[in-house]
Amino acid sequence: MVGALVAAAACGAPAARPPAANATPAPPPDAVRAYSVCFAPPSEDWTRRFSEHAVAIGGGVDLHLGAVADDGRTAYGLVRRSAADQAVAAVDLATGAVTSIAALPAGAAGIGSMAASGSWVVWQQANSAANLGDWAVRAWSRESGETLDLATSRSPDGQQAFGQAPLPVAGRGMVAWAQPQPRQASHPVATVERYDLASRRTTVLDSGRVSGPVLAGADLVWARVEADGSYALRAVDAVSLRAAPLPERVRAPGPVVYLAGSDRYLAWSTDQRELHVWRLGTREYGDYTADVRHPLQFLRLAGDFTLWYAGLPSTVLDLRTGHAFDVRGSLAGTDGLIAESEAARLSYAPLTADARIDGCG
Amino acid sequence: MAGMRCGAMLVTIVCAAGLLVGSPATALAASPACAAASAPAAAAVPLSGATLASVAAYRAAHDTVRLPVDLAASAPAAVAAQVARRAAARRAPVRLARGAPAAACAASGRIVLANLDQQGQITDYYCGPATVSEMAATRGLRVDQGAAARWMGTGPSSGTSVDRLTRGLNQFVGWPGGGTYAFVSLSYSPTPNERAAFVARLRSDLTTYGGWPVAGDAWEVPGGPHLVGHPDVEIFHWIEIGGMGDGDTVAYYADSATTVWSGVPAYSWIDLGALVDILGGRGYAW
Repeated sequence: MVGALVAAAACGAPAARPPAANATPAPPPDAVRAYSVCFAPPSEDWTRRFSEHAVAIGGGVDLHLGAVADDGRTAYGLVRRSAADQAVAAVDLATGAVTSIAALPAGAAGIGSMAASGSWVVWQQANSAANLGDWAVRAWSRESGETLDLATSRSPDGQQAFGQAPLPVAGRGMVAWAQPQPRQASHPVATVERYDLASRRTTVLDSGRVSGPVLAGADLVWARVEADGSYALRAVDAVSLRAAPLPERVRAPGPVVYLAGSDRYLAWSTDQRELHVWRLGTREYGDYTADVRHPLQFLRLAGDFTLWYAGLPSTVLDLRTGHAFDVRGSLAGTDGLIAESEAARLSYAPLTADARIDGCG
Repeated sequence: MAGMRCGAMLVTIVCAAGLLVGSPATALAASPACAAASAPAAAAVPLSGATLASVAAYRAAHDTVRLPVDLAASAPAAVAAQVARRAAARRAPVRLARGAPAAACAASGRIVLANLDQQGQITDYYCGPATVSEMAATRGLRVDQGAAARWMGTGPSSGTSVDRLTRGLNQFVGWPGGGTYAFVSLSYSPTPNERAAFVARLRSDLTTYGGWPVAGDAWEVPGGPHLVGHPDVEIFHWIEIGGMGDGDTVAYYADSATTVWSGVPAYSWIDLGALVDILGGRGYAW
């Protein structure tokens, strides 16, 4: 895989850094489990879990789900009332009530990515369906109602960015993304940027052939292609910005296409079919092989589950069992729930202790 | 709409639904596309009626072009006659100006154009010029994206229109190779006849005189099916379709958006039904 480096998304607020492993002369070996992912429709149990928490969306509008608030009470996404009336909106998970947050410009293509943490929602909006490189990154505060314009596809001198539109992440009082730069070479070049929501200051963490960062535990983690063509994952503490240690298996991950993080896992795909997952703070790893009809892309994590958008359907994978099911709507989640929206309907399944995908068809 | 009259190529390969296979050994051995012909595929995931209805409604509400759809042209008898007429017109061989002819590579019940070219589009709105350049290269011809864009009048606000891209295909791919391309418009939610006609026309192009790629005009809408690696937003996009198989359930295409979204593979297999859904409201040039 050459040049495949994509930003990613993280769900939920990151936990405190796990205690550092004790330095011992002979650490225990890594525990790696391999899974051939099997896909099936949702079981009756999962169908019931979703249907018990389903609401019609106010006004009968469709919601393209993007993120769920940490408190599990509000979903965020794109609502479309007409061709000329599209907006980023909040939807109450209990009532379906819709609150508009920010209108999209006429001709906008939709929301490419979204994340929520604390009182902030951040998203990347695609401003044109014909010009794939016309985008903006914006953030909105639930507390103050303030909207911030964080980045666009044009640099201040008017040059057009070249490369992957950002998939921003939010948490620990900051927003982070990879900002593609104007064309400098045949491959896209970007900077890893961290925007402090309190001080309103931007810090550049890295540059080159880099992916977008994700929040994994207390750290910001991103991938980069080194000069020799090898891939590496780098990490810093999300607050202090000091370099953070990563296990050997994670430091040299092989090719990285998509990256995702949460307070419990770090996950990356090496191609459309291979997914690798590290349980943070442990030596436990999972290697998962999907099939070609479920290309691993736009990965996200929710509790013990990986969610991804396979171009239709969307898929939920139980990292503990290697079993997965498809849904036809859009997905988002937190550590406490997985939400789905399709055809003016929004539902969610609480991730209780017995929420597992054990069967496969 | 008149069908494409593909010119004769130097290598004649006859494939019918994967039953009869013939191809130069060099083409079979040399191409990455041939290796891709053995890539595994799982069972199809059908779209729900609600999803298809939602996609069709979105297209009806957002369509600013409203291409005329000729459902009669997709009737089985009409399509069979089209393909037969084209086969008759292909009897006079026309040699390409330069380059190697394309050749179909068949394996595992799949047909893939062995020389299927892929290029990253050089601007975010150059999918049309990139597709023309790719298809020319697949046919052993050469036109760079910039030249194709200038000829077709590609712009940042509207990309490349159906009419201009079809004319560009004929200018740079069809006529130099002794054939022509014609555009077929599809309904917002393609009918069974339209789906069957796409399969018949794609198979005809892929298997005639070394194989001709087909240009797909994708209209991806939020909540609907998307090409591999594309985000779930509205996207107008041209692609080069160069393979099919597994009992007409999957298609193979080259995607120039590798320079737009880093997760887009240069080549992908996709459920053929989903691909036709993606082309709904626009169509394809064959």
